[in-house]
Amino acid sequence: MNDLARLADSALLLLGHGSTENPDSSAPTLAHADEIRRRGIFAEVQCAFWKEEPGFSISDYLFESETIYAVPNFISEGYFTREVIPRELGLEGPSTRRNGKVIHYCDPVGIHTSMTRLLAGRARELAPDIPVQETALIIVGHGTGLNAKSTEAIRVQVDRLEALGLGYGQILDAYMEEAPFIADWDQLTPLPNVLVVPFFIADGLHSYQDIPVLLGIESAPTAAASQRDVFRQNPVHLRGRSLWYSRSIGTDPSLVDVILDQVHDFQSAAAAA
Amino acid sequence: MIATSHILTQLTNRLQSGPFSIGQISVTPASDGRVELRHQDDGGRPGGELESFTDPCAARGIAQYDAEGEYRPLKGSPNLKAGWRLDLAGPEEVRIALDIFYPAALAVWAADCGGRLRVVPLSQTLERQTGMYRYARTISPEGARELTRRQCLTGCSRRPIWSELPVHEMGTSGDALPLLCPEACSFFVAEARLVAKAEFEAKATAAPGPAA
Ligand code: SF4
Repeated sequence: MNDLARLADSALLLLGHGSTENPDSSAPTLAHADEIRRRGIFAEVQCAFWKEEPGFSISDYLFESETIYAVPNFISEGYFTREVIPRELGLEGPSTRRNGKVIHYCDPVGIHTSMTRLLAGRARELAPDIPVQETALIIVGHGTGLNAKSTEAIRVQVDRLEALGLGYGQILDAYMEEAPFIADWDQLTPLPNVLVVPFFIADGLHSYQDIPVLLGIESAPTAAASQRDVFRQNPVHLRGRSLWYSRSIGTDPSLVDVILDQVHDFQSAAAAA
Repeated sequence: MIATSHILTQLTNRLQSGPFSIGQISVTPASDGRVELRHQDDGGRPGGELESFTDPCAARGIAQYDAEGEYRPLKGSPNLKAGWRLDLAGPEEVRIALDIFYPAALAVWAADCGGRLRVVPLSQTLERQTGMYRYARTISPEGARELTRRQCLTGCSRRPIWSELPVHEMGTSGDALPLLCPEACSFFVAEARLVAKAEFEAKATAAPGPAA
């Protein structure tokens, strides 16, 4: 692929939120960067974070390549992708030229069309042998007024999953803090099998503790040591149904391909312009 | 490409001129080209007493939590745990490990050596904050200096060259590879917001408005 050949002289900058509380937030971003580095596609691969080091604003120094593709590892457009990152990176538009370098600012991973296939793949892996027509697939997000775009991103994914014609009895969106509430999952569908995939970039308190409590898998937030066990109990028989609960979609190793797709899309759009 | 990297050339040259320290880490090149990294507190201990790794990415596991098991979001925190050694193949692996222990430190150092480092004054960093961090810009100059002493000089191995503190307060690096901080980090900005709020509340209590 010509596009890939050209990337060999370029750098990839993956931008993540990070956390001052725990390493889970940045872990998938670091892991995806490691994998892309391992594949040798780019001359350089680095990460920068809002709440960890290196910070967004000093990411300029990290690269020696002249062409840098910056990909926000965020689930949707919003405050971070539209305001914080452009400001901290000193971006002037889709491509910013300065000091002999050019930074191409790609769309966040969460809004790429290939996220839909990732969700479909995750759902299939979660419960490969169940009859899909008797199964509801629920994509769950946070859902508050804080970032209406993340709710919109999930609705778009649900529509696209429907359009794939996967055969699921129902494909639904649900939220932690707004209707339709994930806590009412058994009211949202009459089907006997329910798959729940959190639409987050990383696992963390929401996927380890809050959503399991809302689903009823856990009665109270679990201790840190057993957090990952919450994904190992599938299926859970609850409220008269069989429930499968997935890790956050952003932890899927195939997210690497979505990141690369965003870079390719940027290249195609630039070539077309 | 990596092979022509200024950062790597710079690091290779530094390794050729003998052992050095960076933050809390001692870097010791051996005659066979291998390089050993260990905590400076483990200076005199026999290598056999330390947990040994040959993968530079082992740095991630070492740097993530302190000796008490607390998460270390600020990698400059002077609480890197001891008891390990990295036995690395050469400059490339040293770069990978140091990029994990002290993110961007080598890149900032190379930029400084090349005269390309742009030091951003605190006022500029605070001025561009938005959302809940906007408020950080109201911190008083004295409050900012105090916070710099507490957060940066005591709580971080990096040297805040963006600050207005006199150079003698910041210390010098000696045979160390300098850990330069050209711009207040997000931890500092978050703290500055809290100090600014506390200052505002203190003023409000000291000078209550006209009685109703
Ligand atoms: S601003 Fe202070 S605390 Fe933050 S990295 Fe720089 S020196 Fe360390």
